[in-house]
Amino acid sequence: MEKIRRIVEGNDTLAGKVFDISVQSLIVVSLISFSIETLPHLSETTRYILKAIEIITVILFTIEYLLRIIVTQQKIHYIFSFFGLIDLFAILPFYIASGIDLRSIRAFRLLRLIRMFKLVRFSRAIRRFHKAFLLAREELILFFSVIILPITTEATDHAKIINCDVHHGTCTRSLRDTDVILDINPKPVKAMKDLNFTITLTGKQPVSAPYIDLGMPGMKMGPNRVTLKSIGNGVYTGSGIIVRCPSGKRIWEAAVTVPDIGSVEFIFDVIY
Amino acid sequence: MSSIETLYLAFFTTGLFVGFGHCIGMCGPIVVSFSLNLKPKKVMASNLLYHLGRISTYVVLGGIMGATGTFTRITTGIGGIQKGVMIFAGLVIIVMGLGMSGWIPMGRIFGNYYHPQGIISRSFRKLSGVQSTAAFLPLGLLLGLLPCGPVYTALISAARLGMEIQNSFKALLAGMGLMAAFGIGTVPALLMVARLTGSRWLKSREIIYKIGSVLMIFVGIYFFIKGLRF
Repeated sequence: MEKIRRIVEGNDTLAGKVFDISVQSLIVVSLISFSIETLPHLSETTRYILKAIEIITVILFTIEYLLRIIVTQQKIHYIFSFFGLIDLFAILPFYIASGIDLRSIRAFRLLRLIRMFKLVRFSRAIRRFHKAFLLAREELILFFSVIILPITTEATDHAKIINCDVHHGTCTRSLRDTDVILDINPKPVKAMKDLNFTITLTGKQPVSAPYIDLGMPGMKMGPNRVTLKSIGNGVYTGSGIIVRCPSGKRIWEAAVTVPDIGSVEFIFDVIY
Repeated sequence: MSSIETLYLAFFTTGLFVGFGHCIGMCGPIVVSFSLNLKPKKVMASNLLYHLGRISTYVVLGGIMGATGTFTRITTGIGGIQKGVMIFAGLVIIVMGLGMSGWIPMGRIFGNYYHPQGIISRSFRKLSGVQSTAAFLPLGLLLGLLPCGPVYTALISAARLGMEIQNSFKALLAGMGLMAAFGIGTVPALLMVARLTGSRWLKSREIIYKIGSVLMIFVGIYFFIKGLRF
């Protein structure tokens, strides 16, 4: 046991040096294969090789991680230490991704870049950065949490594009075989006013009346549902209010749900 | 469970949900501003009083909306007040930020060494100063009027409830209950923000004060400008 510890944790023996260098090379190989993987138009063979490399590196990293847990005297301390967590996060995405299909979450793959931090252990220069980071940790956390907040709200704001001009006439969107026509009155459509919503459905009529959920794209404000009543010929009306957002954002979304058929979204701007 | 209780529960969860998203972004800066200036022991009490004030305002508004069954007429009526409150909140945050930065000679206005001389600063301290925890109740009452999308949305439901319930006293109670449920729901997220910024390790840092004060000044200007445009 003592011997293994010297190999894994120290670098004063030949075996220890070989262990360190192997782990470092493995990290570099893993990072290079990650970079190659991001290139477009890869052949089947290349992809197969990359996949194989990924599996092998993860297996070896897992062995390394387990070894480090086994040999260390303060196991809990290691597991929750900076390097312990880095070692864990270097392998965790692979296991999670093989359990559930995460291909849709492309950003998830970026987590593999965490492996880069595994190199920190072996570089004195980077260790200094690590120390500096620890010293300024609180400041950095506060700084980034404050910075990230407006960025995320700003980014989500422009994710959806206006697809409807409610100020001049009606908007139509198709839902399977049905056309859903939305009309909001009085025009121009202003926030904080009593508004009349009219939905006209062509074709087969649903069993119960449709309803409209009002909200702002990317800004959750709680339920604001407009219930509609049928007035015949596929026309449904109801009253509702669009509220004013003090941030000044004016893009609103009306999600019209037709029971048993589905829902469509109308995105428009309102006047404050 | 009756339908009204289900509705309360729905709005409580809405409050919770909105609290962790919307409120931290929009109203978080105010809580952060206060908490950074408070002694750690006073953070919780002051914040709870602030929320109590804020929720009381919501409850009163909810009651009015419920009893009258209208939303638009009342919000039009209080629109001017809300504009004023927003500008006021902006100014409060700017002055607190300036005071905290130490750039203006009055020192840390809300620090422990501050002894106000002028009438304006004295009354200002009375309103939002840390020395008296009780001042956070009226502050909450006032800032409860801040224009806010989720609050409006909840109030619409209160008004709608008022339209459905014929008995206006019952409608009043229903509107009040709904807004209380919503308001209480928003508290945990904001308390968490307060707890984080109020914690000792953050405050022991001089640089936090500097960064925090600059941010506060920006946030204050943001509120001020949005208030003017509102």
